[in-house]
Amino acid sequence: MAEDLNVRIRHQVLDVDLTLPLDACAPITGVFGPSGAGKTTLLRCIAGLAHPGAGSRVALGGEVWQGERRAVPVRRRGIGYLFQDHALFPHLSVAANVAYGIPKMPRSLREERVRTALQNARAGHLLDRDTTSLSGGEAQRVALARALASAPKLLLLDEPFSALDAPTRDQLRGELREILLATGTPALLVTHDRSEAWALADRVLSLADGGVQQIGSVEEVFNRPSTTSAARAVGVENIIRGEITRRSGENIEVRAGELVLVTRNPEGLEVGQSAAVCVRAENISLTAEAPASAKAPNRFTAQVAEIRERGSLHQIRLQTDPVITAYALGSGSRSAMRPGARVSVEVPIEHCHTIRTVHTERVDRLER
Amino acid sequence: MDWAAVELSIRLATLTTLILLVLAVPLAAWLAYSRQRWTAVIEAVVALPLVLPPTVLGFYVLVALGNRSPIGRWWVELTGSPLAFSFNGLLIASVIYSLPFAVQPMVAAFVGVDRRLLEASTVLGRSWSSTILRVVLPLSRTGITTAAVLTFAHTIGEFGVVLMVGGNIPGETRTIAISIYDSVQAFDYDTAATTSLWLLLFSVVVLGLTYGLNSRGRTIWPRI
Repeated sequence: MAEDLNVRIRHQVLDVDLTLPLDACAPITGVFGPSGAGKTTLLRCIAGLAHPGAGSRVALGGEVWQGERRAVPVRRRGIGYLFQDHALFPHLSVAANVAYGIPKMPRSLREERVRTALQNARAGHLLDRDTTSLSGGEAQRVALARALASAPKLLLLDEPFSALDAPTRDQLRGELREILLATGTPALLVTHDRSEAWALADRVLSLADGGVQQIGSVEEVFNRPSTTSAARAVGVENIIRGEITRRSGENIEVRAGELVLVTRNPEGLEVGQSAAVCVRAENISLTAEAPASAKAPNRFTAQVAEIRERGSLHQIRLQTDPVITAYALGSGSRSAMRPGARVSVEVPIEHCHTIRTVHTERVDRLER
Repeated sequence: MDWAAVELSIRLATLTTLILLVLAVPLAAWLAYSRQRWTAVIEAVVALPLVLPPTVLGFYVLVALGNRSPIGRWWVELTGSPLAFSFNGLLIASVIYSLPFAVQPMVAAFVGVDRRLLEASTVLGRSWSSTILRVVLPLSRTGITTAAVLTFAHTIGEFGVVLMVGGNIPGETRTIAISIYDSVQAFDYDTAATTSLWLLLFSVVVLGLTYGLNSRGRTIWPRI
């Protein structure tokens, strides 16, 4: 079953036109973006829990869920929805919760289906438990079993792991992928966690400012954003805007403020054009020692402006123009990385992704 | 002690409560879960018996049920007996008079049900009525008990409306409250005292039981 999901949404906070292939072999589409980007709204509009606005359209294959004139009621759409906080019915047992969506099935068949769904969600042992006694992870497993029991055509997952502790989250993530592959259920997974998208998604849709920025493979969307907005949507820390000053062979030189960065040029950009160089903070390496050859490309020294502790990683802002953000391991770099210290910076050429931009004052101010 | 009046009051209160539980659930669900222009108007109409003097309410009900009104005539044609000054007329008046006492606790309870559970039920294929029945009602037990008890107690204690609509026919429309009033008018203070005490004790026991049962699972202020 390789149907397309067609979505046109004209919601107050979301303006979207997209077609997603729903493939049973590559079932998971990640919906990624910062909070407030409209991720949950997108899911709710597809489910029919929110009205997608006048002139909107939602269709799965040939089945039109939301058309010009009429809309298929939520209960007839045959979708599964996993909420952030499981939303199990507290007054019903685990078994009754899972059976809730299949009341018309003959009893023996229903019991069998409940057992299978729970086993698929690795929650077979919870069958006789009271719903209120479940832990967060267990509850989310039961909620997944409940969603899968009615064999949905499409599963919508709204940050299903965000309320769980890290070990449980990692375990459930791995299992979710197996379960969806095994049952062949296509799914839309809303997340703002990059590692979750990497671990689960077959393709990613990046959302920001109420619009789709990019759709592609995980690698493409995260490492090769197509526009600066797409880069911001996936949280690229360094988006350095400048002008191309030189072209030498395969590479180009981008000058931005006092920085000169050498990058590859797959798009064939020309001297004089505006460009933005996107570099993830984790790809910039900082060392305390002075560089051996200061003249090597993309190597320079800079002063540490600010350090923000983030667990084992420290986020370090350098006093360059424009400001560069990098990460350093907290334990090893404690002595060397102090505000005011001079460090040697290397921006590896293979991690620089260059985007052509239209350079105007207005855009610049808007994006700041 | 006027046992016929006691029996009549309990019969009236039980029937009123049963009818209102059936009527108030869909009405309260509609008020709790929809936001239309009409919601506020209907809500105001439902709350009217709280502010109107019972005599005003009773007057309108009497006019509406009387033999000159279409409803009154239709009832006479159907059953051969008039609605005004009859037990059935009294029952209709009681249902209207106690409507806010049934609807308002239910609305409060329904609004308190986690919205996500309603969405989960809908996504899982259940209709509006099925969701109300399977999710909302079981999770609103406290509110429904409160609604039932308030309706029952309020009907037992009603006086003005009964006097206006029912009059004072023994065994047909003479409730406890009317009976006590009659006793006092006849300077029979002993009977009035016994009946009053009986009504007082009954009310304390019923309300005490309800609040006792309802207090389970309530949040308690943290103590040092």
